[in-house]
Amino acid sequence: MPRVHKVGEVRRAIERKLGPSCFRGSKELNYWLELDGKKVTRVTVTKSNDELRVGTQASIRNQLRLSRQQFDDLILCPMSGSGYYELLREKVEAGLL
Amino acid sequence: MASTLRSSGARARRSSLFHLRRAVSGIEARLDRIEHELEERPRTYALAISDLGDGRYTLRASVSVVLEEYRDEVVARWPDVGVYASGTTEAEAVAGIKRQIVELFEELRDMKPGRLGRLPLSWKRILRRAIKPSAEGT
Repeated sequence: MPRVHKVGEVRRAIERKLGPSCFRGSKELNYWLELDGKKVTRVTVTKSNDELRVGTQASIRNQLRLSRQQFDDLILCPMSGSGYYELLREKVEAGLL
Repeated sequence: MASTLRSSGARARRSSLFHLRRAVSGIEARLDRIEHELEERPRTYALAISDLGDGRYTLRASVSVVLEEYRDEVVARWPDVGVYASGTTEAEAVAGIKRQIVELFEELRDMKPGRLGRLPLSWKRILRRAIKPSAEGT
């Protein structure tokens, strides 16, 4: 069973570790993640502070291009921001992003 | 003799009861796992949207979004441009995905192509083909 995180934990991990540029939508925050000065992906997280639901969490994880384990590692700390961007770079170099 | 038989019968019953309970508890745990797995496997269907719910923009053609219905939420996605929205009902999720499409379109419109990676560039192309400012909004 996947671990379900709180929205606040996810937002904090993205903002503190990944240093994204952020656009405030009416109900969501839209984060842009950059690699070598280019925007490579966009992640949407609700502004509310509830626990994430399964489908929403899977959607955020997909936008971050992470597996379940990698997503848990990013939110719960073992994965650093530079570790995340290394993974992202591999995907860009493989032509997946 | 009779008493020995009775007590060995009771032992056998206790032992089968023990094994039965263990089996039932194993089945309960498996059912629990299956239930959680099913929660993660939504009912999925496609829905065509023909407007963005925003007077400033119109769609040149209808767009097919994917809806995923979970036990306690509905998620709408347009995978071609990487957006999603969720709500407790289909109507909420669809309203949300329309809002997300407009927000992504406006964000990308103001970004220089040289600052965009391969994927966001393709999103921008797709959105420019799909959306046009409406006369109402101008």
